[in-house]
Amino acid sequence: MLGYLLYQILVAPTAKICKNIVEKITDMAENELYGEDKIKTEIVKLQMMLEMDEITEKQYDEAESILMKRLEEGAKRRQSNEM
Amino acid sequence: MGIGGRGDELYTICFDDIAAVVSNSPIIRYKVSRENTLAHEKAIEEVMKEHTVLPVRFATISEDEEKVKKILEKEYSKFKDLLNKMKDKKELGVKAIFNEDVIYKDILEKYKEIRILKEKVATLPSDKTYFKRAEIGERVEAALQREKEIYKKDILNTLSALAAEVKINNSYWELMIINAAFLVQKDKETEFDQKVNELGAKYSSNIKFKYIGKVPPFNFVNLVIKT
Repeated sequence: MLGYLLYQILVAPTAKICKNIVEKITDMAENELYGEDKIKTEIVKLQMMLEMDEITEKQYDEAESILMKRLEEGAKRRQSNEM
Repeated sequence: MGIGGRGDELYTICFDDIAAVVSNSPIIRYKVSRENTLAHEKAIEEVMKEHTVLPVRFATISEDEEKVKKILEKEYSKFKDLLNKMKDKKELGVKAIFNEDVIYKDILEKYKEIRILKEKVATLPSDKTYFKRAEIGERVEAALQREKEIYKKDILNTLSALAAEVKINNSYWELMIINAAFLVQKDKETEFDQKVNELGAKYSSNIKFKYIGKVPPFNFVNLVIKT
């Protein structure tokens, strides 16, 4: 997806389209980092990996705490955007 | 044993022949962290040792005991029906993932067109093969999906007949073939165990199974109670 968008930038004829695409990429990156569903999906995947003994409890806890922080940060960002 | 690490004790609030297992808690929003959900799960597991349980959704908080009693009274017949449904049954979880090294090797062996494409790309300079490599990635992903379906079907066919109900959950993990819960009558548990072991032996070279038998039946009852 990102590859495709970058390609579009390279061939985009006008600055306006460029701007739209930049905004789109920013949104995508924002969503990638702070989207609630994305993070929750990541947490479920981590739980699966722990259950299947593919990662250790310590690795799980570390990753979970990072994701939890991002979840909180995301909620804050959405709140301030709505205001 | 309550959530939040305050060491709150569990106790019961009874109505007629049913009871709610509760612990004291401030009225706050609990984080859905593993530490918290495990406390919830452990408490239910303890009760499960002796009674049929209906798990209530994580972090359901009521203002006072009177309210809990009223809920038990109001929903009595619904709870009794559910308790009857769950009586003498157990939730058994089966998860399976592909062994990562083996499955990708198997795919290359089984899917000739991917193998040919890959061999061709290997002879070209890498800056000229961006789209070709992306295509290989897509094809491998599609093949992985197809392989998952084949094994999933076999696992379900083997186990579903022994279960009263089956619930298949999403795993969000590309290597996971199946993430399912089976509600099994206790007198069929041994037979079910045996079938799971047989599957494990049959696919020992390429699939890793995880079989879980002591968790609360969250997949078949998860009461959402408005307090």
